[in-house]
Amino acid sequence: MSLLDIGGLWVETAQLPLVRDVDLSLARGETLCLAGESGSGKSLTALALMDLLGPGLRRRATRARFDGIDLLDRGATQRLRGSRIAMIFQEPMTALNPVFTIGTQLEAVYRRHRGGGRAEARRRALHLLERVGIGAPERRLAQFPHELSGGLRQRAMIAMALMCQPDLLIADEPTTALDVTVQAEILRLLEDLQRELGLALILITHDLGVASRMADRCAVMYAGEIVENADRATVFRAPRHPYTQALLRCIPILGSAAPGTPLLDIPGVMPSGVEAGCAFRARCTSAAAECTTAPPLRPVERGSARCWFAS
Amino acid sequence: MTPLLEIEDLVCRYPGRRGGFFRHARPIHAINGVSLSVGEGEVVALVGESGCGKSTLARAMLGLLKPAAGAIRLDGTPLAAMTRRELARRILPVFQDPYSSLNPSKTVESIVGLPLRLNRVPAEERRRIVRAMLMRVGLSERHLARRPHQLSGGQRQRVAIARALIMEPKLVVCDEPTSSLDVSVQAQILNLLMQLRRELRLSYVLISHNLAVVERLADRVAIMYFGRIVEEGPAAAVFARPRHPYTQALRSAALSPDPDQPLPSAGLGGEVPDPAAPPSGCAFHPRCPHAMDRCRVETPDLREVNGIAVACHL
Repeated sequence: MSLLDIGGLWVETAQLPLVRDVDLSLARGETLCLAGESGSGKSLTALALMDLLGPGLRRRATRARFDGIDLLDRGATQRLRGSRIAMIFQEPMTALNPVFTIGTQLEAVYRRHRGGGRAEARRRALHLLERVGIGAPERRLAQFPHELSGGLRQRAMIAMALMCQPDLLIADEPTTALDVTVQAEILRLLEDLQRELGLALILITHDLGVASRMADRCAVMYAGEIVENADRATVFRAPRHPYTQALLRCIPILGSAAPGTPLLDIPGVMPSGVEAGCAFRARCTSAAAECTTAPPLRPVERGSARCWFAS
Repeated sequence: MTPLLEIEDLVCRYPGRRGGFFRHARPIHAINGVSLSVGEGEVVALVGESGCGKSTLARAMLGLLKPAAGAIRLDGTPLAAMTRRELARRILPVFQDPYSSLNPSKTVESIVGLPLRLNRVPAEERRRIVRAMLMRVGLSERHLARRPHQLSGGQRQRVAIARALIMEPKLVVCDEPTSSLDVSVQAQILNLLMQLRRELRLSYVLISHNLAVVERLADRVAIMYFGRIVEEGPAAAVFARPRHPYTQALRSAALSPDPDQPLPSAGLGGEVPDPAAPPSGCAFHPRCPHAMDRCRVETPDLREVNGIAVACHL
């Protein structure tokens, strides 16, 4: 049985739907990448799961269950948040509280959800800081977020997310603000922790290089919809949706072409409103008359794709 | 032949944090003895992680920062001997985030035309030149009256490029020109930069952390670490066989979309050193997998072998 099962999820403002009809399911220990360009709705999807949408945004879904618990029940979601479902963000500086030490913040999470004394919380914090590769953990516990480098802050953030032994970790662009050499280390840490703790991971990223190395399955989003959802090999080797195909062709790859060779691009921009028919139609090279009717997410070989012509 | 831009033994410092009330601030060396030249029509890329000094170097080239030592010459004339206005006509920047570098209250026409107005080009001619330039960067008449917030990220970057090119400079300094753009738009902008370079015989200094972008656009690349160049040479050759351990690490940390490749196994460990307490010897030695005793003591010089210069004792 899947750990997370979401069906027909919508996020909307009073005027405009921003996430449309998203289905997601995730098993224990599995990594799902939500990939897409900015404005595609991938972060909103995650925030909606956690009931963390900002003011003016509403969510609805036909079903949203986490290990048998109904996520549409706000009280239940609130109890899961930070304990069984944890989240880390792109810029840990904005997620960590600048006026409390790392230790205070780690311990507070544990004591709030688990109860228990300070000593116990502190032991767990020390253990986790060590586990996420932070040297001299006693000293770090007493430091404030601004005293840590970007890479260390993200490690501390991961430690905080793990304080209550979550089953699901949602990581929203966890390495986008980091340098490339640090990025690889944080990704490897996430991968190790996942294997070791049996964590389910939703990794939100715009970087298809990251998604291609981390995902068991990958859902590609465009203009608020999932346009393709399949296993990693299919999405990155034989993508079914024209958008995924075009997106992969846009990415320059080291050693693949002579200097000065033009890159393939996708003309135009992602629509910001809702248009009749397929959202990718205006930029799609294989658009046809059928595309004026919006395609559903259809089953295709080894996955699903929102395109009339995918097979 | 003199290169278009010549940087010689450049040193740039920022005032550091004061150690205490009675102690003087120790300056932080952001650039520590960098020499580099850019030929006419050439694209030279600066690659490195945050804090390596690449943006400081760009600021120095634009005359926005006074170097502590060394010289930058454009066509043989030191920048220090040029007026602000003269310099601003010949070396122009394109920054990472066009949203923060374009005046939000002005229209596209007035943003792109400002350099012309400052140089007293009559209004009618100005209008003609601005229109032609917008066409050239892939915008149209429709965009003339728009303001930055009414444009997409890619269109804003096109406006920034149009503004940079309006005075027909020889050299454009592109500081992470596509880092804030989505990949589909990044490809459009990179293609535009390549096309303009051919058509207008431009030289670029391209600052980027994306090795694949650099390989596509640049003739030569300089890899920077902690205020110094650690490897420099033809871009294709440097990336095909990186010599410096830091370049090797950058190369293996670059993740192309490949479902058959796992994450790179051995990372560097550690992070860029604190500039207020620079390590002895080679600045890279605390993170280098091949560090020897000599590296802890002696700073390696940049030595050239077969057209590629490397600063490493190995």
